[in-house]
Amino acid sequence: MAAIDDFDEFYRDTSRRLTRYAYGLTGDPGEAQDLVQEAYTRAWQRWRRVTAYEDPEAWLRLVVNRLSTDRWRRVFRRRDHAAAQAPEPPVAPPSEDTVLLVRAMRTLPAAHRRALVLHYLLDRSITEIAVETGASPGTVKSWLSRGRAGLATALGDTYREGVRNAR
Amino acid sequence: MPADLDDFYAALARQADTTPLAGVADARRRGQVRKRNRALATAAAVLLVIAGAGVVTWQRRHAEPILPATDPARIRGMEPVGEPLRLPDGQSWSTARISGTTVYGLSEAGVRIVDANTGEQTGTVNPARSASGSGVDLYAGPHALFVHGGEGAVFHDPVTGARLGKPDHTSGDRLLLHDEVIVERDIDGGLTAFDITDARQLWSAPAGADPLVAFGTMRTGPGSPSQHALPTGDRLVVVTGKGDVVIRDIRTGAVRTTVPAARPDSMYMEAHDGVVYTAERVDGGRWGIRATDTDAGSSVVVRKVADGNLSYFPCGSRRLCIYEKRAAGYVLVTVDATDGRVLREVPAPRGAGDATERAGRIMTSVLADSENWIVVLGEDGRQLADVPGTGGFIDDGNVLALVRDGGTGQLTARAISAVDGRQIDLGTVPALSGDCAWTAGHLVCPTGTELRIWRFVR
Repeated sequence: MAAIDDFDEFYRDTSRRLTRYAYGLTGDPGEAQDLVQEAYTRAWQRWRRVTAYEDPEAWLRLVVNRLSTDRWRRVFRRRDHAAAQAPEPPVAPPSEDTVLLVRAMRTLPAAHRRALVLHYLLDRSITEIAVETGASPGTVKSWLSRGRAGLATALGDTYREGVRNAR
Repeated sequence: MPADLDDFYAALARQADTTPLAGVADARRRGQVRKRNRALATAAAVLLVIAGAGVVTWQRRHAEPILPATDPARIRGMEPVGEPLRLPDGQSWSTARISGTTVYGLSEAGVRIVDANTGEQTGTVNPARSASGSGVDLYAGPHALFVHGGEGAVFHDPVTGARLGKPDHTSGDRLLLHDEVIVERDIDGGLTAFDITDARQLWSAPAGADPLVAFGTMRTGPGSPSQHALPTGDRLVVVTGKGDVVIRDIRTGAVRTTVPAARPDSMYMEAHDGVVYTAERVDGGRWGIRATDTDAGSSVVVRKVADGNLSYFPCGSRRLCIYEKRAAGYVLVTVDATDGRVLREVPAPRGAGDATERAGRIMTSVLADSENWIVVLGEDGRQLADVPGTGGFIDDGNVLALVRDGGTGQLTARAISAVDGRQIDLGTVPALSGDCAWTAGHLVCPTGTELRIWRFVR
């Protein structure tokens, strides 16, 4: 029972942040739901091992990241057949800003998207992103810089340079 | 009103927080089911090992091969070619391509061209990047390497990387790549074709009064092993706004055939062995799949499917396969493309997906329950394999599956025989930084700072 209690507490503490992360990566609430649930399913499947990790939440993000990468590839491959897909489950309609950002994020490479999501949605520093992604801080800075430039291009007139400084 | 990125992401975070989740109990239940299934699989594997030991003993006594020979020959292993191509720390390979025995790797530093047999570098390309720093893509064929980046479309020598030419076009709306020709569609629906070796304009066809709504190549052989391989063949297929299906010679632009058959609202064109398949809305909001035979000049709706069931692919000469959802689950229906006669129905428990047919065998890549699956059907429609992973045909008789370990990100490269369904683990591939590519002879994968090449062993 202790394991169940620990897992339930872990879920309560982390599921909202993981959902933000998955939503940021995919831009799709239905995809985010699926990815988050799949990540926790895998975590429970190997819970004893996951609890031994230094940062179990980072492991969850790793799972979401890899699953979402596969999905993006698939979305691009099947874009022409989009009309044949089943409708997504009902969720609250996104705001105009969210729609614009999601559309802009879709123009970015996966590494840039991941760095931006970790930085802006999960408030991770460059050093923390470097540790999580296995890249050097310089590479992370480059991803963030190029990601912002890509978003600026895609967002056009609706965008102005943000106030946040990279830490 | 202009906003900064903090505002945009704050809006996205608020939206994410409204996303309902299935809950912790559901995650535990699903995890528990998988643990139990894994335990059963382990027990089954122990039994198989015991049984296998008996088989090996028997085989040694009788001096027979471990696995029976197949045609094409079974893939039994893979061995690395040369040393991996290494990049400095902080850089990574994003794209791998292979054509024949030439490998291409793309990173922030440009394209490196390598001989797949020796691992030796034969050339480089330094493409201009787009303003956003991304968007370079590669397609390789026997006559040219096509690089699409900040400078637009540029052709290069496929071995040395020397620049061959750049089509003189500015209004390109969509490009169709072919192993000898590139065809550009402009925003009005006109077409212009260029030679892929020197960017010389070959022909053009203005949009006129009946502009095209879809165009593509006519596949004649088996499905290509790689999704990045350039199409071949001599026929360009065009579906016009009025519904005509027009066949042009892709090298000269000359019209060979026009069949006034398809409907104006045609969508999702596929063309194979002289037959052009399109989808159109029919009675009751359903989709009709129309087969237009450009050799015979006939056209008929061969199958009507419910909305949401529009998943079809050519699966042989004048054969069309359709995934259909029934009350008891998905089935794969094969119909005769000349009259719609049902030739075969087989269960498809994993559901619909991206499918390819070679020599009567079918490989489908399915996304189900957040996992990618490879499903292989034999010539008789029997399911031979169903494994988690991504991949595709290596040749007519072998399928490659890249099976990912969710924890480490490493993959196991597995060969599945499309003849008898037997599976052989070929080796381990480190975590990927882009898609792998392969031919019947080689596998190439971008794995972070290393581009790795393997040779298949038969």
